[in-house]
Amino acid sequence: MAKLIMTADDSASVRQMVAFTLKQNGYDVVEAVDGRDALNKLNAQKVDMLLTDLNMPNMDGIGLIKGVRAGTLNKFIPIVMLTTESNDTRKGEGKAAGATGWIVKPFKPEQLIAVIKKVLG
Amino acid sequence: MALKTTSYGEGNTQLSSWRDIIAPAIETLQRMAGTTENEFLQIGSQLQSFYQRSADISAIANHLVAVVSGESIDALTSRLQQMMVDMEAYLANARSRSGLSCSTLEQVQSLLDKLSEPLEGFQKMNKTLRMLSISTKIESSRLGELGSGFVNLAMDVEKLSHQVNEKSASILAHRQLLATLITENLALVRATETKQDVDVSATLEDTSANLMELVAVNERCMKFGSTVSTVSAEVTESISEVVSSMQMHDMTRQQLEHVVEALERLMSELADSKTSAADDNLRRIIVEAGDVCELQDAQLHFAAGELYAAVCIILDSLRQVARKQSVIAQETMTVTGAADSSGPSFMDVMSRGMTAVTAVLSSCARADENMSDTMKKVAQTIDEIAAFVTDIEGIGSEIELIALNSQVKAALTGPEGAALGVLAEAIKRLSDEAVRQTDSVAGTLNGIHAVTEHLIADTESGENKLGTSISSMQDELAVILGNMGRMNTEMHAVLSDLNERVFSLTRDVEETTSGVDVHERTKAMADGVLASLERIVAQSRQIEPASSEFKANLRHMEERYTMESERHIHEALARKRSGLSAASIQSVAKDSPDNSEFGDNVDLF
Repeated sequence: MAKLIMTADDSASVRQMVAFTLKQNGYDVVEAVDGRDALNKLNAQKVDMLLTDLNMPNMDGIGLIKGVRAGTLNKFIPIVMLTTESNDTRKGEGKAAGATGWIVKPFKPEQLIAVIKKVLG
Repeated sequence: MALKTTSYGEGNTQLSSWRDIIAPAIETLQRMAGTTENEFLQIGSQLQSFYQRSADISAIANHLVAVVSGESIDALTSRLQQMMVDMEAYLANARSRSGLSCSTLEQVQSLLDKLSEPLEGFQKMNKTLRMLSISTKIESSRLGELGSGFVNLAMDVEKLSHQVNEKSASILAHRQLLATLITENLALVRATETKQDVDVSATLEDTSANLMELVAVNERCMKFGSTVSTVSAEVTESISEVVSSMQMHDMTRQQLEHVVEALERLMSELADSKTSAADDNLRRIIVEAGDVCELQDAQLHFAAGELYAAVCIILDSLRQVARKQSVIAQETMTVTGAADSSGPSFMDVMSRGMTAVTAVLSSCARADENMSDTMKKVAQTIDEIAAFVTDIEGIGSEIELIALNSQVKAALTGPEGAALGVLAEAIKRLSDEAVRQTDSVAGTLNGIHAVTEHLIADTESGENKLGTSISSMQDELAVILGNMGRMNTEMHAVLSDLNERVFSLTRDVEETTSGVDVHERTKAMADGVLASLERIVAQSRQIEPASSEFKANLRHMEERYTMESERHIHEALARKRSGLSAASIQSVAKDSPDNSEFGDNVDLF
């Protein structure tokens, strides 16, 4: 059965490209338009991995990670930040919140897939 | 114009004019950041379609190659090569047999000529018998009562002369019939052989060439697999470029938002100064306006340039995808030996060649049957002639008996029958002549029989063997032709489908890419804002030159940056203002080379 991955980003075109890349490689995808939307969905649905942007309205990526780690259903899933942010301080915050990895945009599809394969084992 | 020479009122007027410039610039930037999303989404959804269609085209190309290559074609090639050898052997055998048959017929023709002399002998014998009959009648009438028995003898002799005439005429007719049959058959065989030689030569040459083409197709197909893989990898690379470049929209949007934030903050500063600016404060605001606008000019210049380049890469990459698939379609036609999807493929040519081979084999089989029939007719005619000869032999025996009877009667008649005795002697010699002539004819007939007998036997057994061989070859060729026909039909259908798909993809890519002008529109918008910012920078620097306080003045902006490129641009400008050497803004903003497992933009914790 295909693994289910959530992509959370306030940019529809980025979500579209992430979903396209994942589907081409055999993954199922669920989309969320911001951190709050993502957390609501993650509280109701089990996924195998979360890819999230950092800067989003309503709830940012760090808040989302904290929310997921504090929950139960997807508490232990790998979470990779997919963001334009490259600041080490912010990366540190992400890591502290429970991020598994950090990818700075723009990503190449093969990079993203390699990372996903690595973290999903 | 230095500030110290500028009045407070003039300074405020300047700040007011800058606000008038910045306000529409902010509006333009906001519009620029907010109106491109739909266009990128549209390109993105087309991209998914193009990618899928491109993958389908590659799959069809691979399928097509599989149709004309693989184990079935290997087996077909081997079998056809063996059949070529068999056909050549068969045709050589047929030619040899035909040569032997013709040679035999020519011998028969020559032997038939030898019948002329005995047949002429029979004609003479006929005339002599008739004359003897007449002489006997005359002599018997001269003798009166004494010669009465000779009248019956004369009538018998006359009757025999008629029979000899009749039989020899029949032999002559049969001989003529045989000669005509042989002449016609030889002419037919020679004409057929000449045509067959041409047909066989052309057909074998074509078939051989097509077999080589089939082998070449197989070899090309083996290599084509890697070509498709390479093109697919290149298409994937193009798609990857598109996916990367599509993200520039989001990145540019964020950069524009940061520029807008900076300009809005400047607007606020300029508005505050309207009511409260003292000279020092006014100076600070003018310097800061120059610094902010110079920095935002650099940031916007970079962001707009990145977006423009990204869209160009997207368009170029999409066109590359279509071009690559066109290459695949063209290559597919080349490797499968089809000039185009509607024209004849080498399979068509090969099918025609095989059909021609079948026709040649059939023609050989018919020629063989004809020859066999001719030989049978020859044998039958010879048998009929032999029967006539036997009849003549019988007539000769009867003549001999008549001659003996005449001699006995002549002796009994005494001296008066001396003349009849001479006639009886002549009839006796004639019977000897008949025996000699019939022996001659029989000898010739035996000669003909001898040369044709073994050939008839060979023809009958060979005909059966070759008939079976031809039949099995034709059956197999029919199966091969059927398979090739199906393969050909499928190949044409798939090629047609492939061309249609490539045409459709190329057309759609062209339509999509030619309709994209987001990069030109955003460039025009950015150029307008850049010109505005550069005007403010120039005016600001004219009033108060740039100072080394740049970095300190704009420290607050650094906190808003999210992208490395923004920090690089900021740092490069700060170093320039501090009098330090700095790499160009464009070059410092570029990514460092990848040397980690997943790339320098990836960290796994």
